[in-house]
Amino acid sequence: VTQPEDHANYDFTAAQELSALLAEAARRVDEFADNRARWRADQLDRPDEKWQGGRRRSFDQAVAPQQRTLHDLATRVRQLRSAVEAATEQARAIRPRPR
Amino acid sequence: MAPPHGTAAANPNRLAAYSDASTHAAQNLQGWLHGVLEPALDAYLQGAATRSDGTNIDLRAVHALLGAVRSDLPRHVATVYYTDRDVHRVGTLFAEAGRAGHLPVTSMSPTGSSGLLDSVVHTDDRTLDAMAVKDGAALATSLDPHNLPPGKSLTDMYLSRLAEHADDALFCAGFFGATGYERLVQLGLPWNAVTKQALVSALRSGALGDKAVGDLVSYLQARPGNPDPDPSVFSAVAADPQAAARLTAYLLGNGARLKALLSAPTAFSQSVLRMLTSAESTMSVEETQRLLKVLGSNLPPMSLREEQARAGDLGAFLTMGANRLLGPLPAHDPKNSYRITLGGWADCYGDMLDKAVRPYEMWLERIYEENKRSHQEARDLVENFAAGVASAPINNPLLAGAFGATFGYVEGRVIDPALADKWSLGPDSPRTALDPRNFLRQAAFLNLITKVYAGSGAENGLPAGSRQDAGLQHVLRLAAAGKPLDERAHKWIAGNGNGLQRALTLVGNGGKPDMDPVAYQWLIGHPLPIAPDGNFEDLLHGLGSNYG
Repeated sequence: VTQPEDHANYDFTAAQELSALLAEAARRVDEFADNRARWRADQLDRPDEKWQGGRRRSFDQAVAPQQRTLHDLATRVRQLRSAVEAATEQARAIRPRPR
Repeated sequence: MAPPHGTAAANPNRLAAYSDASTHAAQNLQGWLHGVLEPALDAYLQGAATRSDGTNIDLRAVHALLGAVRSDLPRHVATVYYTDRDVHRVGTLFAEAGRAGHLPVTSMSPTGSSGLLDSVVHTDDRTLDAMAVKDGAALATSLDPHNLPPGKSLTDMYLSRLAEHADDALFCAGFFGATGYERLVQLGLPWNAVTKQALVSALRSGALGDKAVGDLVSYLQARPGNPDPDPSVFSAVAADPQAAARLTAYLLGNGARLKALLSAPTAFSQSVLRMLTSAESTMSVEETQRLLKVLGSNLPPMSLREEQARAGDLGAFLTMGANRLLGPLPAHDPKNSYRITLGGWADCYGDMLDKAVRPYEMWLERIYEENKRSHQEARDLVENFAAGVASAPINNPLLAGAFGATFGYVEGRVIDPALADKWSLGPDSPRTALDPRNFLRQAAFLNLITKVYAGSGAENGLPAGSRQDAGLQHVLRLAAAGKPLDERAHKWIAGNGNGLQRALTLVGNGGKPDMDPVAYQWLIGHPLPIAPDGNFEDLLHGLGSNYG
């Protein structure tokens, strides 16, 4: 664990930019999964034109865990963002080393 | 794998619309991850790099999550992309089915924005499968070598087309089913990532006939201009046990082919053995028996060095085989004492192992006989073989011990020629401590105990829970190596005797209180002293004398 008297080698600008991009990444991944579900409902599950058959079953079996994984990965991206922000807070708390 | 057959319906244009929207979004997301997020991650990590004096911000939490974002996320987006890309392909199959008469398609039939038919097609899965195979077969002959884009060869064009379908099992089966050896030579397809994936897909489909598999084997054995066979092809097949099983099924019916493959240069024949081991992992007891027999009777003559180079892979193959031969524990038959059932099971297993391993022992013996002037080399060979077996990625270290002991026997003979007269293992020959059959039966019973201890009885080898038990692993390793139990082993046994007995009770009576008392006494009494204080050492050493 870093002690307050340690010096920090930390690029605050890069951290800020990464934090913002990680927030956007999580949003993009969730949005992709949500859009995929919507396109599926719109195009593949229309009551009068529903895709049916063995290939549909194989597709559904593949897609269900994929969608869960996409949302799980979005959560991981948010967790990474929290970890970056915690590291940034840590760096802020460290006194600059006297020159 | 081909989907199950049944009725099928879809609007091809809808499938294409879904596929196009999703793959477009996946590509955009992937581009952003690589082009924007990844450089930002790099810049951050560079700016927070640990200094040479070690002081810095604690980034462990960041590093723990990096893999998910840098690797898992792009990989998963790619997986999603390919899943959804294939939906367009299914749309094309439905459109073809419509044109083939499953829907009255006229020049007035609606066409959607995708260019595919915009109307529901009712067909069945079998028709769609046939369409996929037919499309693959059509590709085999469709490209005109006299009408190629500038700067492109026929091979380039085929590789490009095949890349679009490399994971479409039925398409690839159709393609390779229609090419034949001569056409493969004419096309000059190299074995690269695309062709290897297409080959694996085709084998996995189950739709590739023996003639096509034979042509492919010929082509990968030696392409014109490339006389050295490429080991990475069999390695790619080995990575897919289902594909490996199809190729192995062909080789089982073509022993001479198998022998030729195993006689090929070392790296290639090693890859063949790994492919066979992969296939073996999917096999039933009967299938495993057959594979062990066919390979055992087709082992080519080899020099010591050649054999030495294959010893590790052959050992892995044998130990996988020994595990597959185990099968499940026998069910408790209320008409019989479970003691008898278990005894019969273990005897049967021991006999199967005897028969299965015998050709390999003979093969080793021949190598020794042919090299008897070089005892040191023969000794090295056996030691290497035993080491290869012991280090093979197997589920049950006891089996490694059994095989190690078998080859230890060979080694013993090399060291002490006076034991030569005991080599003969006819049905009436005395069973000495060095008789491999004793070790095999020990392995059978030690496996039984392992399974019983784990309370599983369902799967071969050590169940996951037991594999994580470092103490048990330690005990089993010592037992397999024939070493005395040390303090750590005794400590583990003392702490687990009750667990062992509980597991025995559960497996013995299926969790019911009405366990056959004779079976129970047999299980907990001599020669299986599973008392609460767990005299495991006596158990391990007692098995050989009682079941040799």
